[in-house]
Amino acid sequence: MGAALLRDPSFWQPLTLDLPKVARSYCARPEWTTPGESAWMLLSKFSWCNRLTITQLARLVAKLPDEATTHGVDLRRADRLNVGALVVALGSPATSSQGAFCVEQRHHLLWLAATELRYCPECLRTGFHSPIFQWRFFVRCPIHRMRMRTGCPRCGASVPYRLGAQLADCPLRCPYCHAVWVPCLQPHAGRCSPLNPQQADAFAQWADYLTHAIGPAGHRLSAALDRSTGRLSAACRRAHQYQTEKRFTYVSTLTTHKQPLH
Amino acid sequence: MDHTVNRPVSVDKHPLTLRKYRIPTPSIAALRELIDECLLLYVTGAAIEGRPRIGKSYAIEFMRRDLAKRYPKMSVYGIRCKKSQAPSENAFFSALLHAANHAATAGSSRTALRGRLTHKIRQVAETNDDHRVVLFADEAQNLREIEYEWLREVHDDLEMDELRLFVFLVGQPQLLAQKSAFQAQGKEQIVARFMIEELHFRGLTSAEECAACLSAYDRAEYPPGSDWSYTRFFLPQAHAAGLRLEQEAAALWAAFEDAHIRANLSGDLEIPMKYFTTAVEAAFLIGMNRDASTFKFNDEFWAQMVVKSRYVLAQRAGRVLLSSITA
Repeated sequence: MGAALLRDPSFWQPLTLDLPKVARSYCARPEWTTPGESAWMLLSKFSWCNRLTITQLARLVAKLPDEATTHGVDLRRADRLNVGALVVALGSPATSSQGAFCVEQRHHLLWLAATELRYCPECLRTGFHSPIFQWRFFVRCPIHRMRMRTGCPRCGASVPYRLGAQLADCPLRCPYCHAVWVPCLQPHAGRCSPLNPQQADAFAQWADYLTHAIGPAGHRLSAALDRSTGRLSAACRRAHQYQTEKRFTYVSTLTTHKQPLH
Repeated sequence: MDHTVNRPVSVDKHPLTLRKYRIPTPSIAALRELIDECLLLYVTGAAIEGRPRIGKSYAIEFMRRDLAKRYPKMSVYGIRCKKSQAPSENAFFSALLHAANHAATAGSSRTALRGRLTHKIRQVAETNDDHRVVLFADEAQNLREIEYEWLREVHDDLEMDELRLFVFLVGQPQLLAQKSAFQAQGKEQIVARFMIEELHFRGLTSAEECAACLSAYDRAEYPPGSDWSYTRFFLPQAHAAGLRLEQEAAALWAAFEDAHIRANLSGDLEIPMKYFTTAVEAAFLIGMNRDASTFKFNDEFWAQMVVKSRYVLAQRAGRVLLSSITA
């Protein structure tokens, strides 16, 4: 054996041990995610692949790790997580974490966003969840037109919208009935597919719209919302009720004009 | 040493000075052919055995770089199997996670570690778009039966994920004894996966093989493409006058043979790569101080280099150890 190689001059070349060192990294699947996906879904997929304990996960991404191991980190707010570390761990471009939260920091209207997971059943099945689903005034999925749901799809157990032991130990599955919420991940070689660009664009427009509607933190007089009911104002509801195409057109104009929706 | 020589890099940065190079050997050639055949025919494992210090770990490092060069998309990992009092699944999967360059190698349940490992291997393979995964297990004679079973589970998990794991077990001759024991116990699930092929790893056994290895020093350039072979780099004036290391093969072989016979070592001469490369490195590093157009190696010089390689001392040490065990 090896006789042919012994006569091959090209084989007799020393190799220097100067290969670049591969940096240690977590298992990251940026190709499974859609821009604008919620921090809950990003972290759930990360947990699915890496199976870290809550202590490890909290040390990695939470600003106050002890909070995660006790009552959990609120995933509605960006300022509770170390977004830089999150981006590195997820192996995604920095822009991917934008729009992963309901608000950047403490916000006077955050009470309108649910602390329990709200989801579109069809989106969840494909491994997508948007932070806009958490707003209680957001009633239907703009893609599938399905009503928002809460609780495990099979047993109805509450799913906290927090980074806690449940997210780390049972990512994307119910800790009580063990139902798998994203069936495409379940089989061997299973994977998630990102939304198509049109769908992703629709969510991006809605996210812009809601950011605009809610307004900056501390701006208590947002005309987009009726404070007494916690619902969208009449003007916003009109936009909400238009034909889908018209609404998207309307929403897209918001991003260009940047005028307050008052 | 002539300080006027304008070398492309300083001597202390050269791979030979830093011992950061590996030269091919006839046994490495055999191993490379075996690996290529396994990859081609989907033979998922082989047992490679040889005496200590013969160059097995050296061969693994060479092959990892060689495979990275020839199959840049293929995932290649290496673990060093440690001898432990009692096998631990956590320790086993932690070692594999470390080999796979995962950022978290501990701190979870066994199931979680196993899932983490397969996800990581799968992610790298899918990102590289090559479903072949090669794992070199050095010192594989230290693996216990239960660890083979865990390795088999990883193999099966990856197969379910449409990946093909090739495991090359590299170790001391006890590895073949393990294989025989598994066969006797009917552990076909282990032998059939990881031990179908066998390869005996040996040192250099002739002057011709020495010549082939020495020719690598004449041929290889550092920096690549600079026209500065290792021989030219350390002995530029002698090289310009026509000195080539390959021509020294007979003298070096004879020096090792003399040392072997004078020390009354048993068996035929088989030079482990460790001592061969040490002798050559000493020849370059000591010879460079005498570099001149008239410089030539001679038998006395090579005899000194063989002494500096500690070949005889190491062989005697091994013999004393063996005799104390068998007494």
